[in-house]
Amino acid sequence: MQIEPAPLLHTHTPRRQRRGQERLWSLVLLLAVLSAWYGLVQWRRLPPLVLPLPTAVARALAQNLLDGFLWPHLWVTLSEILLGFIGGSALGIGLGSLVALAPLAQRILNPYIIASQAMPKLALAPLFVIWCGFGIAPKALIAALIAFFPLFENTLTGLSAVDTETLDVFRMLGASRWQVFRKLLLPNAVPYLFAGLRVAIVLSVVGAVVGEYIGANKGLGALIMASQGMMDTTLMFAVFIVLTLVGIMLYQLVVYCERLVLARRTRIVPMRAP
Amino acid sequence: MPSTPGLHLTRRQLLCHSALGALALTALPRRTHAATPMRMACWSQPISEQTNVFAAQEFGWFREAELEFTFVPGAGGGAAVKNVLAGNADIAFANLEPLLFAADSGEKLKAVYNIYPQNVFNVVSPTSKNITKPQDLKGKRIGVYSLESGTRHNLRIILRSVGLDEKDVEVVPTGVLNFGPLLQGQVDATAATDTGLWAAQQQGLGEVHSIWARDYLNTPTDAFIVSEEFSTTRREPLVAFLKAYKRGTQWMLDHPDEAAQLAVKHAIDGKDPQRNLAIIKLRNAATVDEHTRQHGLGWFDMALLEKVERTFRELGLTKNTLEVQRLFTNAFVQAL
Amino acid sequence: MADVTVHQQPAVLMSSAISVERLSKRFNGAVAALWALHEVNCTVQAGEFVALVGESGCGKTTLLRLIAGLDTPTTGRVLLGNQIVQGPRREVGFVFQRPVLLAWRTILDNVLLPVELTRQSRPEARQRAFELLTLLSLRDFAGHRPHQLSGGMQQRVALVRALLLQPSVLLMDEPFGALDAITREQLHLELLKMWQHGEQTVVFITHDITEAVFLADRVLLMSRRPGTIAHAFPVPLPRPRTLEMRFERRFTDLCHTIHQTMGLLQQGALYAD
Repeated sequence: MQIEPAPLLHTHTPRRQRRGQERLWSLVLLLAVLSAWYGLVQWRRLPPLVLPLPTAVARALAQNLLDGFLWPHLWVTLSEILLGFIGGSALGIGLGSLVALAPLAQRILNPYIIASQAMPKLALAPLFVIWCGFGIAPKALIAALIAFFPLFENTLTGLSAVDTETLDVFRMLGASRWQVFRKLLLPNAVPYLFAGLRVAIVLSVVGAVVGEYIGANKGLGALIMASQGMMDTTLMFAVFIVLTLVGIMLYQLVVYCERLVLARRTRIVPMRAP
Repeated sequence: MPSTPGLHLTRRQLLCHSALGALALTALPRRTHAATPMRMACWSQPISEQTNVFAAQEFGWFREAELEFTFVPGAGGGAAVKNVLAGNADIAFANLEPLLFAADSGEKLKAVYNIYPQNVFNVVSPTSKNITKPQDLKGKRIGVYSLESGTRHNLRIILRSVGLDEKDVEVVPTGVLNFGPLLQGQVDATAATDTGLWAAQQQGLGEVHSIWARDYLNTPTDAFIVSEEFSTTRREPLVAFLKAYKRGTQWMLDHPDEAAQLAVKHAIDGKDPQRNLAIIKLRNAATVDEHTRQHGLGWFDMALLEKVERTFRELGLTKNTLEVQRLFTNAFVQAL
Repeated sequence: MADVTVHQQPAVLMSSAISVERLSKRFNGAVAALWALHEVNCTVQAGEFVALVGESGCGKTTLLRLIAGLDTPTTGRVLLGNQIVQGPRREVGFVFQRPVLLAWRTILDNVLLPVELTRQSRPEARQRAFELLTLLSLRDFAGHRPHQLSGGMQQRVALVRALLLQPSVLLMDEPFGALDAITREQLHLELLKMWQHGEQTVVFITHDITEAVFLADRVLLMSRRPGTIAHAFPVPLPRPRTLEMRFERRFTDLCHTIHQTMGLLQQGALYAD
């Protein structure tokens, strides 16, 4: 008796082709959104003060990039972001490590750690400006404050997230506390650290910009405030796009580093909510 | 008696070294003239309106006066005054309301120079709304920058001139982009400034009616404000600063076109020289009145200020009677 | 973080006898105290392979951990050679139910962990590591990462790691429980091969009576909680053991006997000696 081969339910598309198709659809979606934006402005006859045309925004963006207007501001904001991110992360990792190694400290600090998660740190921004004046320092400080918490919490969690059996292996081999920390807890916590870094870099951008809103002569956030005073919504949109691109690039940078470091192990930690 | 001879020697050696060190320090060459820091807290970022300040920087007039000038940006006059009170700045470039409010709470401040004797606040509405005089505002929705801003306080002054107050209208805080809601019909009128109106007109505002606060009570727009202590202990640098500022202001009055070009370099919103020129012209107009023509730039009209103080009290903005002669002074302007 | 001090004691003999004397262990639970072990007495000769069987929760793992020094007894004591066990010791190798390898290290680095932690001579240890890896057919995977290996191979790596410092005692807590039957058979033979080579004293916990009989010189049966050694069954089979022995009469009879005893214990008809 002949057995008929079952008909194929779908042809197997090679992965690369599929990826290409998916990217194409993403692009189509973007174009659709831009068209809707354009259409909305034209149909409702919205003045540029309220909602500028996407073409006007693109033009303003290109113009300001090409004639060099945006670069000094971009540089200032970038410095604030990076200073704050590096400083805040380092402090978060350091303090998180210390607290993780002292369970008593952990228990004492616990209610405050929980409170700090709920606290809207950005609301402190005006205070920082009063205390530190203007200039790069207060913005970097605000960015650092915001970057600190995800790293502190994730370091704390990561260093505690080791199962007793692995600890027992180290115990059986007579490892000292320092050896356990360096050879087990720390490498084990690296995925958690990177998850924290991913959250922190995005928040650092927000922190620096909000700091600039409150008082700054230079920077992308300062430009947004200035464009408000100028009633130039088109410029505001253009600067916002630059900010978004900055955020994306910084985030991808962290992801790239994460892939480099974690390439050889396959543990993937889901992103912690800020 | 020291326990070991060795220790005794060490202590003596230490004393010797300290003495030598102190001597060496005195021998260091000292700067013959140290520049006095002068930190100016502004209500805004460095914008084209302040090109007179940029001129003083650019042409070295601050340096000549041995001043090390710093522009401290802010978000509103309140922030500028706060910066002075907090010690982040020496002198505030701010509107009068935060001065009066701070004085009402007991802070010792002094306004030493009348930056814009003319009031620049207005209430703007599309012609279709037919709002041409203050009475027409009754029952309408009016936008203001924020509840702390000069736009709100001046709106109340306009309303007061015809016996109305906020309870007779609906006040809506809209932020600085206040012409947006106006264009979209979300408010009937918006309280703004002369420069705001100009900017909005460039963005296609259309035909509007403007009611100007100066027609009802010409409260000066901005003044230089310092702490009382600063005004008495640092008289010389203050006078030097105001001299340099006045020089810059005179230059801006005499050379608006060049000022517009200078603003391109210094102002964060100064990219367009044409725009700069229009703004500078508006501010030049606000800088002069009959008193400045008679007594020089920066002169306070004390009688008018008494009226302002009284009005603020009647509006309930301040509780205590403030000593106008103490809060405002022309002594410094006379020295310029 | 748990205490990780190791009591520095002079090196013990190549293989040590284990002596468990009146060992009891109580855990303080949230509701009431729980006696996991009650007056356990047993002796394991130096170089002997002993299997420990019993129903779930009877305290086998607790007993093994006490022998390893990972926990401390409530009463009684454990002697290794002639020294009282007061904490974890390097002379004892432990293989857990899961491989417990470090994901960020290569297989070789995982295996060399004991040497890193005890700061012994590296080139010598590397050579030993390679020998052991070769013995267990893992030589080609030395540069791989744990996630690239199957469960059975990972457990082999754990075994190599446990043997790297040439321990005199080897404790194993159901090491092959998660593996399939065929892999388990292979590992049985490999384990016996290693043991013949190293002559350690071995205590091996398992649920599987067949596995116990196949591997051990003696099978100890534990009663249920609070656990104690209910019965000891010597395994009269010659060495080296072969897979075919599993189907011989004396093998199956012994398994049957142990099963029956366990059944009677469960029913409470038989009490601990």
